[in-house]
Order: sequence, then C-alpha cells, then structure tokens
Amino acid sequence: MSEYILRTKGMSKKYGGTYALDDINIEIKRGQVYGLIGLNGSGKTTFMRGIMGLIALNAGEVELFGKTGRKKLQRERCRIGQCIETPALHPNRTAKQNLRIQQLIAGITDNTAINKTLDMVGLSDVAGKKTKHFSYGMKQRLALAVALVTHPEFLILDEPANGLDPKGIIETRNLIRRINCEMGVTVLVSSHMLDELSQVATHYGIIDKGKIIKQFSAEELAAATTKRLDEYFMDLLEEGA
Amino acid sequence: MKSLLVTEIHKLKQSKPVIGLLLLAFVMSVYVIPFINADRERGVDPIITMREAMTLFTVIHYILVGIFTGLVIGSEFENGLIRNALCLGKGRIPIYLSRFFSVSVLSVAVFTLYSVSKVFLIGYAEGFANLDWTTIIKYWVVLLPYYLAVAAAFTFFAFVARHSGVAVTLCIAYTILIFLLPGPYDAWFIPQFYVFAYGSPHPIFNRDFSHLLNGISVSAVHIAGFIFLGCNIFIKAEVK
Repeated sequence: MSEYILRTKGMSKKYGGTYALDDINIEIKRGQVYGLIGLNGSGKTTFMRGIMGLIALNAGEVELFGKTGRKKLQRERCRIGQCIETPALHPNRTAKQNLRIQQLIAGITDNTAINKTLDMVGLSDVAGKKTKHFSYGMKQRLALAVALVTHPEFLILDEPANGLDPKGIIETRNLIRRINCEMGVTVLVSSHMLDELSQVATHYGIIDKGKIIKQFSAEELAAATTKRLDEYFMDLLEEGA
Repeated sequence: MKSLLVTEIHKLKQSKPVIGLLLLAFVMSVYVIPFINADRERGVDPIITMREAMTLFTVIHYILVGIFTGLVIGSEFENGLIRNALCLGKGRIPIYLSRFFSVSVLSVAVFTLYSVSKVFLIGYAEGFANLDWTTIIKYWVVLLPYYLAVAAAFTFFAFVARHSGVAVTLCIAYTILIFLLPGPYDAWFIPQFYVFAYGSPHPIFNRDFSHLLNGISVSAVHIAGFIFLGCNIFIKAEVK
C-alpha cells in the first residue's frame, strides 16, 4: 500500500497562451488534510479537475494510490469521492435517490449506507424531498453525502463551505474532522474561509496564477509565525508579487 | 459497464417523463384506429391513411424521443452528473454507450408499445384470426435497427451539445432535415409506412423487398457512424 495518496509531477494545463496550472508538484500522504489556498482563478479547481481526469493535461504526471498511467488511474478513481465546483445532483430526484444512483454507478448493491450518510450530513429529515427544492447549502451537504456514500479513501472538496450558514459551516468542519480521524479518509480541500480551513488542515499549499508558491504543514506554520493563516497567506502573495 | 447499465435501467424505471412517453404512444395508437376503420367502411384505400398515420407517428416519435434525450443527457452535463460518473473511474466510452443504451430502450419501447397496442386494437375490432402474427413479428425485428439509428443520432447530438437546450434543438433540426432530404433516406423511411397496416404489409412492400435491406444498411451505417464519432468527440472533451 502506497504511503502517498496523491503525487503530481510537473502538472501543467494551458488555455490559449495562459497557464492555468504551471508545473504543479504536490504530495499528499495518507491521513492528511491538505488545504489548497488561492485567490479566485488561481487554478485550484483546474488542479482538482486535472486529478480526476476531467481535463487533458498539457504536461506532467498524476499518481493516485501509487499508480500512474491512464487505465490504472481510471481504476483508482473509484476510491475517490469528490465535490468539485457546483453540487452535482439530479434535480428531479430525492436526496435518497441521488445517493442510490451514485451507489449503483459505483457498483454498490448494499444500500444501508444511504440513511447513515444522510444522517451524517444532517439531511435525514429531507431524505424524500426532491433536490430541486433544496437551498444551495442543502445541495452542498447532499453533494458531500454523494461523495461519501461510495466509501472513499480520498476526498476532494472544492469550497465545501460555500453557501452554508454558520451552523452548516461548523457542521461541515466537524464532519471533515470526523471523516479524517475516525474513518481515516485523506482529504484535499480548497476554501476561501482560511480561518475554517486552519481548524481542519494538517498541510497547506498556496497556489497563485497556476503555480504552487509554498507548501507547509500546520506545525511548520505554527513554528514559523504567530500570524493567522489569512495574514500569512496575504504576506506570501505580496512576496510573490 | 454493467454498473452503468444497471444505473440507466434504474433511472428509466423511476422516470416520470418515460411513463408519459409510453402513455402517449398508447394514446396515439388508439387515435389512429378510427381513421382506418372509417376509411374501410367508405371503401377508401386505407393504406394511404395508414401511411400518413405512420409518418405522423414517426415524426412525433422522433421529436419526443429527441426532446427526452436532449433534456436528460444535456442536463446531465449541465448538472455535473457525467462528472460524477467519470470521477468514479468509469470510462468515457462505457458512459457514452450506457446513455445510448438508455435512449435505445426508450425509443424501441415507445415504438413497440405503439405497434403492439395498435395491432391488438385492430385485432379486437376485426378478429385476431385475421392478423398475420409472423409478419408482424418479422417486421418489428426488421425495424429495430431503424429505431436504434434514431437513438444513436440523438445520443450523438446530446454528447456534442452538452447542453439541454442546444441538444433538443439539434435533435429537432435533424428530424426536420431527414424528412426533407432525398436520397438514401427515402429508402430508409419507405418500409415503415407499410408495416402493421391491418397487421400485414401492403403488397407493394412484398414486391420491393430491397427497400427493407436498404433500410437496415442505412440504419447500421448510422449506428456505427454516430457511435464512433460521438465516442471520439467525448473522449477529447473537457467535462465541467
């Protein structure tokens, strides 16, 4: 079993003449919560989409669970849960049906995890409600449930707290902690809420204009500065500029 | 691939628009019967009416299945559902083929329900003994490739457009185009007009069997061509 869940080497993606990702080298070890921080348009989502094979890379290599190569990567992706960009849901189906469909795609026949997962994200009381009637925050939670219902070993979350109310933000934070600590799921999470992120992340990567400008662990951050994560992030951006 | 097909069947079974389409096919078959009987009683050649009825059914069938395909597959792209399947490690070709399977099942189901209910209604009115069951089954099998070709075309448009509105427009435009185009399409469309008329084909149909073979060949080329092109475009596409 590989120690690394994800490794990227020289990952690059170009749109026209602009690099959306420029020589990205990231390593995420099993059990880590890796916080990816960057401004809007810095390349966070493109990076996640590149890992999931949703876009074709111009250069570089992705390694998942120690495996590389198109076919092997495709196979390994069934061990990943994701919530990238907007919540991906069937609007005319209920919360329960959405989870069941995701299970069926993954080839899971046992549907006992559905209620448990809905309970985990706090949506068990609206399990039979069509998702088109959900608020954006509820859709975010359900998208998280969709990602979790296939029992992933690695979870990729793109701005999971977007659209959530303060209670939802705290619950999501606690959920990420629980998933990581109790279930041993490795997490890659991007967020603009750096204060929130600093409460769950064990490692950080700062991305700006498609480049990783700094990577550090929570311990290294604590030893290096007394500043808060958002202040440190702004300093790094200014240094980079 | 198996899990994708299971999912598609599950989705079809739970879909209200699918039930609506099947009900509509039944209603259309009931609607056609009085015209045929009225024409027969007046001594008018009823084949003309049946031909018109079949053309009408084909156009409506095309448009309805096209709208369904465009809306379902297009919105799957818009809502990120194709992304969900891709992120679970499913290959792009299996994903494409599973959607083609789904549209094919729907297309053939609508046609079958329409045909079967019409044959039964005619049989009920005129006596089942008069029906030529072997011919009915034979031509149903022969027309299968034709309806699979329709499914292949609409699946292709939906995967190219990746947007429900654009996909529906393309499907309807294709329907209008093929009903206006001359050439191989004539041969492709002629056979269906004579099938199931009184449960047995019109004599013209028997005399010119080449129409049928033409129809099957054109359908087979369509299926292979659309699947090949569609898969290749989808493989290279960036999915949001």
